[in-house]
Amino acid sequence: MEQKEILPQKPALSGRPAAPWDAESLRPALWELLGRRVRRYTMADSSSVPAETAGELLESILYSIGLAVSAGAPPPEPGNLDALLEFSWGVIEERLGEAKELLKRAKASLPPASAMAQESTLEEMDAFFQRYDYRFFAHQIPCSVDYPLCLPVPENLGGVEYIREYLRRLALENAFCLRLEEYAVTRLALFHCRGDLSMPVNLYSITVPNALACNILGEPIRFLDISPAGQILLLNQFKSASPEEVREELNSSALALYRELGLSGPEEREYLEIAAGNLVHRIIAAAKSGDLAGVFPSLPDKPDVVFSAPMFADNETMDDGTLRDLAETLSDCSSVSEKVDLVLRNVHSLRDLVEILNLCFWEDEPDEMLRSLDGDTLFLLRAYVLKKGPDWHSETGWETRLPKIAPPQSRNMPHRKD
Amino acid sequence: MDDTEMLSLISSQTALETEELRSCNALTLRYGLSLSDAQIRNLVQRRFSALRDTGRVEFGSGILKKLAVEFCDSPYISQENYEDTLLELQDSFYYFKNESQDQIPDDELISFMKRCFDGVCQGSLDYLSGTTLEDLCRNTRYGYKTDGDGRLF
Repeated sequence: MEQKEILPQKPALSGRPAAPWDAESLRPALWELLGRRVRRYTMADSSSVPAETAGELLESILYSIGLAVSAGAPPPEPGNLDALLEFSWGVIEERLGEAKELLKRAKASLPPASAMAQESTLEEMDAFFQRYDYRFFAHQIPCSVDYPLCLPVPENLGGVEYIREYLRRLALENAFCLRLEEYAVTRLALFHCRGDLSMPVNLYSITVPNALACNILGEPIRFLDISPAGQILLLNQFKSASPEEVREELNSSALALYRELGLSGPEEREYLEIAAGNLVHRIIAAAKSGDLAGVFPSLPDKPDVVFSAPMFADNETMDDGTLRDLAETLSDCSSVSEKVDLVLRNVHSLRDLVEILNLCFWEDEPDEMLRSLDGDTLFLLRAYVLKKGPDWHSETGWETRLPKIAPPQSRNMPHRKD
Repeated sequence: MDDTEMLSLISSQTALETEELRSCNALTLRYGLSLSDAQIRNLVQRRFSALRDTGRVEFGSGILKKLAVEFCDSPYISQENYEDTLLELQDSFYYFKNESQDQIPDDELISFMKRCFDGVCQGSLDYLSGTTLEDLCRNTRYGYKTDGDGRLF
């Protein structure tokens, strides 16, 4: 399918000057500039460099000049390459500032059920800002970006342009996921990941189909659940439909989602429409085979049996009185293990768990409580802490013990086996 | 870096290096060493093949002048073996720049080569490239501390 681009076309950043540049007439000047950059890179210690290094330095020069031209600088000529290069550094610094701001916002708006790959990717982005050497290797992306996007960033983007665009798209995706029911997103994510949230599964691309289908069926969108009966209705609707009809149905459903979820801005709408449009061929193929479960999965009634659902994932919260009574009982407990046992037996919601951790577990006590939780619940707690932001601190300080029990770099947090 | 770009680089550097080597004769003649035009052409050509063989790109006039200036007072070099020695030294130089992962600056590597060539190697190029330079590069890669001759403390 022809995919529309949701960003302005990138200028000549693919490593070679594009029209209207006259690359041939620039060649001698480029060589001279490359020679000067090599001398600067080696700090005049070495007159030669490996060909790969020279190639990367040249690529960086072309990338930077392309960026400068796209930012309004005059087209490159043999006499202005140095000036363009210096101009581009200003542009890159500006883009770096924007990317840092986007990263800050992305970290503060992680969906609670965000896959661990998203978290580790955002952590890696910090390393990008430390490692990024735009004066010599402006086109490089010196970090590992594991979390896939629903609509990937075009490969012709490099350096800070790539990171900025990645974060912009991630923000659009997370804004959508945050408007859905937390537990529904978690269930769907766990379903697609087969219980292992460390798998790099894109949340947006798994929630959008179910949200669209819920809208078509008139079911509550935020819960993302499609009953087997709903799947049959969808199958009946799509099996004899032409691709154009499916596209039209998805487009109108996307528009309805956009309105109902209170999304704002044309970019979010366009992103959603493209993501919905990308489903057309999957739906046609699945409808032909008579089974839409691969596109619009029904979540199992008893998730614990099928996958390791978290113990605390915002089920029904206790009323205030019961919570207060429990807190009092906990403060009377003589041992930590007794406290932990009480919590495991009585608390069934992430909100209540956080309340209890905030009130009843002091000094080293949170360690034992946290150790008794399954990996998914620890993950949800980490997401909760991240969402609260760096300035938030609980009274008991339990969140400071969390990294020790569930380290951020841990790719395989334990899962409950039952 | 494609072949066209490499050729462009080569042609712009040949003239410069030829001229520099010619001017070097004025200094080396004091030690009874000089290079004819044919020898200079040969050395310059070998520079580019050495760079190609080692996968390196060089800007400016190259390393030959520095080698000639550094080695011209060696007791182990005479007019008869001057060109061949420079050829070998040039090949070794680029090879060991790679082997040391570019961690040794040009001047330090040349100075080390000269010290070993006149000292422990007693003018043997095989000894120089087969033992002392290998040791130096290995120790540099592993970050070991060495004495002035590249040996471990």
